[in-house]
Amino acid sequence: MYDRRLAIESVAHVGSGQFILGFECPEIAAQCRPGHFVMISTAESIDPILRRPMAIYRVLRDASNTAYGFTLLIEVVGCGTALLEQKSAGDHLEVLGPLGIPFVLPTTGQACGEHLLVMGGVGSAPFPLVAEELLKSGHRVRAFVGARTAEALLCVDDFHELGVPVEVATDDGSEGFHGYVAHPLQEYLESEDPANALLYACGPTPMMRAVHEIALTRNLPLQVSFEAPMACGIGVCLSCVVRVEAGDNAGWRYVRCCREGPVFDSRTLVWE
Amino acid sequence: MSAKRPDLSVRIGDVELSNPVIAASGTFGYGGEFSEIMDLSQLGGIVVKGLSIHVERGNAPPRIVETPGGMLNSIGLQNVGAEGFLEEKLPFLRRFNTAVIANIWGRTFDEYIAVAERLDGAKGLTALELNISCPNIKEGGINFGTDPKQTEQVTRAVREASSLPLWVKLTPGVTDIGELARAAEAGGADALSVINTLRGMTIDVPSRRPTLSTIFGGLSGPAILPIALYMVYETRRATNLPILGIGGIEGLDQALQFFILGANAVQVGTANFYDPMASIRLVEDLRDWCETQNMLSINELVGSLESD
Repeated sequence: MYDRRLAIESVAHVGSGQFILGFECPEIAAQCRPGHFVMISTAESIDPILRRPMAIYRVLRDASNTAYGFTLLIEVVGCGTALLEQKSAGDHLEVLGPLGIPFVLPTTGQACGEHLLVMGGVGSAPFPLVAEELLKSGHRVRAFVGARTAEALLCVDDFHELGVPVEVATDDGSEGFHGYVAHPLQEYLESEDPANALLYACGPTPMMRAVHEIALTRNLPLQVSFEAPMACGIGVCLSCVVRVEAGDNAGWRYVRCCREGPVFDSRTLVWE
Repeated sequence: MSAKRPDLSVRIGDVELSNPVIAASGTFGYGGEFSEIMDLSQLGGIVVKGLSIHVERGNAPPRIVETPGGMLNSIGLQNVGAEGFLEEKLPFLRRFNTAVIANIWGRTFDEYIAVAERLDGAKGLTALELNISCPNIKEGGINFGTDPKQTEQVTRAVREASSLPLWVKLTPGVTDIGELARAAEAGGADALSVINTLRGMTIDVPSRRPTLSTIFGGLSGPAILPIALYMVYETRRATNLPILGIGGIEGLDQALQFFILGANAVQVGTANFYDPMASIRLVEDLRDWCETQNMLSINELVGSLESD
């Protein structure tokens, strides 16, 4: 974990209200694992005052494969992200990271079934890195990408470039399946019945809950990456708590999304 | 050759701190997380997250909301309990050369006494900070902090239950903070922490509901700085007890204002969330500033308010 003031190296607008910020920082980049996040400032003033949590999107590597930077895929959802959208290369931000518990991924040679990545909206951000890591260690990957509209779909090009098969769903039917992304996942599992598939999900809570129910029914492991309002990102403010099964008479207890998460085994969570 | 660097050490009653910068309760956990990015020994002290006699699960989310220049929180004093602190947290903190102050609270008189007794004599604990001013716990906390009689009684009870130096943390939500300061002094307080958060709320307009699950919460951050400064001013007029100034401190400028008003040390709170190196940087900035002023000790600044 490092706290650094970094210049924005690159800004790429990828859709309406969606953009990618690039940073160079070998220290942070070298530690980034798929599912990690950083806390970034949005203003030089105290309005807004808190940093914002952002998932690591891609890790940048030089010709010798050494990590030297990272990017963040951001969607405008409020005042902080709206300010970030106005930033230019050369502007500075405070960046703390990498933070949190990343996805647990199998190592090279570890026998397992197909890895199914299920994502909605800006929840897609961590998954190209997940796919990259899995492919590097010789695993099979398939992506299910959902969004409100065709324009709001994210990361589809990343998966194409990585050679990962993609199934798409949009709420308005403007591209792919007309409806929620859990549906094409369900159909795929029913038609192909892939043995020992492993599921990963990030997106709106109802979407993750739907994937959780599918995973439970078919007895497949599922890791979900959660989002919660947080002030510090390092586990001291206790704002971002989520409920997990306590495994005793207490029934449940709170854990910090930033510290014990953001990636959780979906079976440990209390789904309200 | 460089001259001797300015002395930042301060005394809070019988407690000597290596410097006057302390991490405020509820913004620094039990130190473990921050130890990953800083040397905790560089801080004057750490006030740990408010401890109760039992483990506390805390309030339902949403627990925070950002506000102009600040934030509201309603954590509900989630903590590991006195036992968990002694077993799991304090041994780690003992590794550092920094004062460890246990913030304590209870729902009842007896719970205050119980947690004070449990922590008494713990190796590596420097002082107790009595939280009689948390806005986020039902049937407790704030009444002990707003009624002078109760303030004096609970302070005296804890004073008798523990041999540790006792700091009492006051709420700004009263008509006359001086009266509460004198009550805490009468009860045996060794120092006063001024101030805790202020009650506030916001509304989520689309749903027409309070943003926080508990309706209201505690306001902190730069937005409360002028209130905190005024409260320290009034407290200093009311008592000669050492004062720990808290509220909206981000860096040097705010800290200096507290010292001029008569605070003997300062606590950095909400800034730890959005600028995790703020407290460490403040220590260095204070030393540099004293040097530019040709001050040998930070104590020369304390209580130096000019008035006509």
